Amino acid sequence: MVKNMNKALLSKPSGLVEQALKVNKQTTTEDALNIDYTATVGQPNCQNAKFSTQNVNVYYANNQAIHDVSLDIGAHEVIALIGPSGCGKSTYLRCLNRMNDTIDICRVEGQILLDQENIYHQKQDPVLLRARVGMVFQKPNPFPKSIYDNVAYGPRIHGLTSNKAELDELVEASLIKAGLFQEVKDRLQAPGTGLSGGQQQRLCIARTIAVQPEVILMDEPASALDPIATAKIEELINELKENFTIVIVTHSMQQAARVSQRTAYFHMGRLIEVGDTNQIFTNPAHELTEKYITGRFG
Amino acid sequence: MESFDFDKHTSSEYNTELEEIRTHLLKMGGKAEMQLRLVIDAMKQHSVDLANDILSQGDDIDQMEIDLDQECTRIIARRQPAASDLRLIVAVMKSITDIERIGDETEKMADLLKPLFKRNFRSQYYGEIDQLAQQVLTHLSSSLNALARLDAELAITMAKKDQLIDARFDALNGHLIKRMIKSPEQVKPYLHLSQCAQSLARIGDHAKNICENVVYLVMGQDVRHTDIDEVRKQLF
Repeated sequence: MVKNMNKALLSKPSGLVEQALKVNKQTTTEDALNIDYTATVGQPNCQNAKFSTQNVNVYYANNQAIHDVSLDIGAHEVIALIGPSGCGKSTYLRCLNRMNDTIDICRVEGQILLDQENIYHQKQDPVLLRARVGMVFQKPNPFPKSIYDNVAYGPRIHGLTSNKAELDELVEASLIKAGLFQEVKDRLQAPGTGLSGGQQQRLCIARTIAVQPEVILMDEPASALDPIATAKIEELINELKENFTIVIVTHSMQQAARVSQRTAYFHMGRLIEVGDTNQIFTNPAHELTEKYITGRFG
Repeated sequence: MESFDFDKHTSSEYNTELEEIRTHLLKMGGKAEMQLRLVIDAMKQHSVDLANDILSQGDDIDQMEIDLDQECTRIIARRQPAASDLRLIVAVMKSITDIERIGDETEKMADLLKPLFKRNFRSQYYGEIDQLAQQVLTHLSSSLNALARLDAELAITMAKKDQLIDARFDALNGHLIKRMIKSPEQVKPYLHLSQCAQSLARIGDHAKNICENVVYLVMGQDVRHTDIDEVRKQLF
């Protein structure tokens, strides 16, 4: 069962490799498109960086999906990664907790520091890293277990509590932080899969929070949800930033504008522009960012 | 950021909507400009009929403002515009307020001038008011040109020139006040002329606001309440 659980946790979004191959095809036409790119525009660096990534290149076999991306992610900030499909934003996100390790043909180059420590160092245990850097996926993926056990799973395998009372407390606190406790407190032993889509996603967030991570990576966390469930997730992101650093990949520009303090725009594997979200959505500096956020890509 | 391909969106309907609000804005600006020309003609001819024409056409500009406001609101609700599209909508919503007030000022002038025309009041100051009006008209036309061509440099030049209008108004108003002191029995007609001059200066101010909206739209910089020479240094 544990093996299956890990598999579920590490499940890669379908089509990721295919997307990467598509990126490579697009890259070959880059010159023809005459993209004006010499370096990232804006402020890729920040003070108080939680993550500092330098010259990150990612390859799927011989196809390069990420080109020389350097970006800092500040502590307790919400940063949104936006860009067209296949631009490399999810690939970059998955570098931050070494989820790309699960793809055999994937190779990551460059430096990724979490609190000044190289997360790709050979002595770094990826499982422990993923406890510090949790992840929430596009589609809610609760384990086929009770609501309680979904949240208790991480603390149990990482040995975060010493007795049942402590575990109960941690499960309750995590569900409260995820804004789900009031809705499920009377049915904690009911299957997690029986919840609505929005509740399942908040359960997954509670599961992530339960192992007390420092960073939460969110890969389109609300794209499968209705507007009310989406609003609840966005409200939750706003509350969670007090305690966590959040990196969110989203296709919804309005969502990026609503939830993030900084926005990074990726295009064909390159980080084109990064800056204050207010500036990006009112007066972007790069023409490609402008074209993307105004819907001018044909 | 100088990408203003308002016709390059993936959604052709969105292209049409943005083009339409631009076209309607320029039409509204043209209408206000025409009203000011009518005021100038009315002053030259001392024509009560022309003054009445101006008063009767005021509603057209008001309706244009309402229609454009509604269209902008609809675009915000349906399209959630961003970047230059958002700045276009904001600039349009602000500019139509200024244009509507320009229309109001021309009506106010027609209202003030009509009794003077009726009693055939003649004064040497009509000539000076005409000169101020011509200057304001040129200023307004250039501001609307800057808006039509999205020409931030022209907009800044015109915003700077508003100072000349203010200076001319101050001088003219000084003369009119002296005249009122000298001929207390003619305070009322000269007060009307003074208020006309004030309306012209206000139109100059609204044209300047339009220029500032153009700079915001084109450059993404809010240059209100900023020294124009500093703005020019920063942006060009």
